Amino acid sequence: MKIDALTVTLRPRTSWEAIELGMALTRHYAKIIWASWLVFTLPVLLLAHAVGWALHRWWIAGLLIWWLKPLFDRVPLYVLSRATFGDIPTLRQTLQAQRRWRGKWMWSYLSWRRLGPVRALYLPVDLLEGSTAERARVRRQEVGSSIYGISLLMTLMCGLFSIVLQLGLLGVALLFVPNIYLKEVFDHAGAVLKASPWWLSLIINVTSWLVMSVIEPFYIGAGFGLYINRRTQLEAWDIELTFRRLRTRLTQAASMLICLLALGLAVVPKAGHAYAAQASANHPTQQDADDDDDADEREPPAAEPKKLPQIFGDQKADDASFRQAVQRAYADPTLNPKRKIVSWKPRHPAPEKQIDLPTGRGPDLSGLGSWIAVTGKFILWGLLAALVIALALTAKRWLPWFRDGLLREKTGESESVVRSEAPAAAPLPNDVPVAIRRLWYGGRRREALALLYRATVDAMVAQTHVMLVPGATEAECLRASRRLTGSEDRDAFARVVSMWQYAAYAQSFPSTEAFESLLIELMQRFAWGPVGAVAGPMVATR
Amino acid sequence: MLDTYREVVTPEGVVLQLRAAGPVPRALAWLIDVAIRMGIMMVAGMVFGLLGKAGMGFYLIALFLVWWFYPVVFEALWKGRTPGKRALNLRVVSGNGGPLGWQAAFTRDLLRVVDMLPLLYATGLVSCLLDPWGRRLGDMVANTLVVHDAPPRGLVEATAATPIPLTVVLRQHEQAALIAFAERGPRQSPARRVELADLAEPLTGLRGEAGVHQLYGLANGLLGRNE
Repeated sequence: MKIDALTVTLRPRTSWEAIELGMALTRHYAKIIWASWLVFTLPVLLLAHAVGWALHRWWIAGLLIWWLKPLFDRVPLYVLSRATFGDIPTLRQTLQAQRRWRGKWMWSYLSWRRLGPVRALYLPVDLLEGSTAERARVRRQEVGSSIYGISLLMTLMCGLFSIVLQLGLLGVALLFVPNIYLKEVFDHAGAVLKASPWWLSLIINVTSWLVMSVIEPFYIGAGFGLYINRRTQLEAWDIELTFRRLRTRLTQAASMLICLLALGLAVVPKAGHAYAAQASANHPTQQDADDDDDADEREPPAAEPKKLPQIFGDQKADDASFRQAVQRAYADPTLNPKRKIVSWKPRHPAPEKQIDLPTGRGPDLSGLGSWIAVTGKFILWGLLAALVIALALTAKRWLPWFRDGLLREKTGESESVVRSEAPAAAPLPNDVPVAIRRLWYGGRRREALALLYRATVDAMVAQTHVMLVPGATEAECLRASRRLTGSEDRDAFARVVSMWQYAAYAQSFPSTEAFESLLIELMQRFAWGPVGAVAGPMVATR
Repeated sequence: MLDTYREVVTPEGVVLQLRAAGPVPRALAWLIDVAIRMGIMMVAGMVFGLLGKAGMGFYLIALFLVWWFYPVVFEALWKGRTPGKRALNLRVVSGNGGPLGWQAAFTRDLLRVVDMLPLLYATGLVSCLLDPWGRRLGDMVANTLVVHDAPPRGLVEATAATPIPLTVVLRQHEQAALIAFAERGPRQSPARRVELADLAEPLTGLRGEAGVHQLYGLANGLLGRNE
């Protein structure tokens, strides 16, 4: 299984969210799922009806279609299982896979397990893991034990959805009947239902097939989502994925470091002669080691020409110990979640008290009721009159609100938050002080301070050689600046940071004098641009 | 990458992830709410039945109020939850992740008339199945969203080990994976644990059980534990 190729985000989800994930998968690969579903089920539908026609019992066709559902379920399951790992199958591949699976597992699913309530969860275990019958039972237990209840509810809900859609189709038909004929139609419908002619069975069969086509792929998708989520919990797939990527990143960074080292030593010819020779001798072996690592990751066992006895020689042990280890692993209590619940119960349960229910309807309060009704009627009419009068009297006050509301809605559309793109990736200008002053005196003081801050951080990094994380915060930069050698350098850096923070988060800008003095000090400290030549005239002009 | 999040970017540039809920839990929540409302109406029927014919009028008014205002009042006053939604840990929020207002609550309730066409919310169900965020028509019009509430996280302590400081700069999700390994590692089978730790060999420089313990130590270092 190639976890790297997964096309879904893995994280620990609740089971409900796993259902959403599965349904989202179905929605995402809808085209291929429903195309192959139609190609696979339509011939079966026709065949079933041919059988029904031959036997003169049309309901048999409907029952047959319903009974064969597990067979149809394999179509969306195959597409999902492949597409989730980045390999979207074609229509031809999907249909060929159905032939390749043959009747495997289908005898049980079409006979004694047809009414099993968590088919969507168990189908992936049986069909995708491809283990023997006995092992599959253990796996089903392991995968399904903790989420059996939710799978059951999911099956129940999907069944209800089918009923709702079927009734909905009927309701659509009834919507077209004018109200005056409705009673007549119902009377007639009762007679038709009793007679149950062949066309009624045909309509019911076809509509239930339509409804099944809508719901079933979602149902299988939801079951597959539950399965994927359970495997992620059991085997920590998300951690494995991150660790794999981390491994690739670190090994790449390491090999790049070695290359740089070798290059640097080659440039210094005399002083590093001996080291260079050593490094160039080491270099290929290191590379080889890296290559080996990469090869390990790719794991092409098929290309391995050696056989087991050649590799292990007389160390090769019998299979029996391995089998025992597997047995022991399965016997591990952490894999078989069984809980013992201890609770207290009374030893001699108290006999249940008989509650004397009042047998009659209670006191006859209908006289009181009619009195309340009459008074209520008058009070309500009075309230209505008062409301109308109040509205009419205050019309001057509330009419303008409506007009204002309408106006505000119209203008509200055009309002939007203005955002400026953060120039994070833009390189620093060649002459930093001039660029900063241009921004400051051009009225863009915030951008000027931003550039100043970036340039200072850059200078600090150049002096201290620390490695800052992308998106490092001001506090992290300050912590890094402790490595600056001069204490005055550190002070200057801290002042830049605080000036930037005041401007960025509080919109409070320093005076031009404070800004100039800090800039000049920084220019001297970090040797930016020509110091006296530019600074003099610019200050004089202000 | 496919996910069930709906991402909302606030003006401050913060990405909020709303975990949209689909038809299955929503339908279950609705069933629970229906059961509660029927229970209320049964009790009301007994009480108003004592008043004879006038009681019928009160009963019908109560039926109207309970049936149509139950979701509105609960959603607007109880942070977007009805008892059914509370039972399934769901919540209605506004489309931008904010709390639900009275106006949105009323709109989504009024649009039930459309969603329940032709029978038993069939339209709403189809809309919910097709929409990537599982919204029915009322949600689309009111610009609301039903989301899974944050689950009460089962507290899992990361395995204690002697903390080791990190020497390599790790990205945030990598640090999170290290800590997740320390939390969930003990529940994996020993072989799987070692297999995972071997993947992180470039970080630890160790293989086997030693690598596992090194990873636990690094995670403890990240968590800032002292001993």
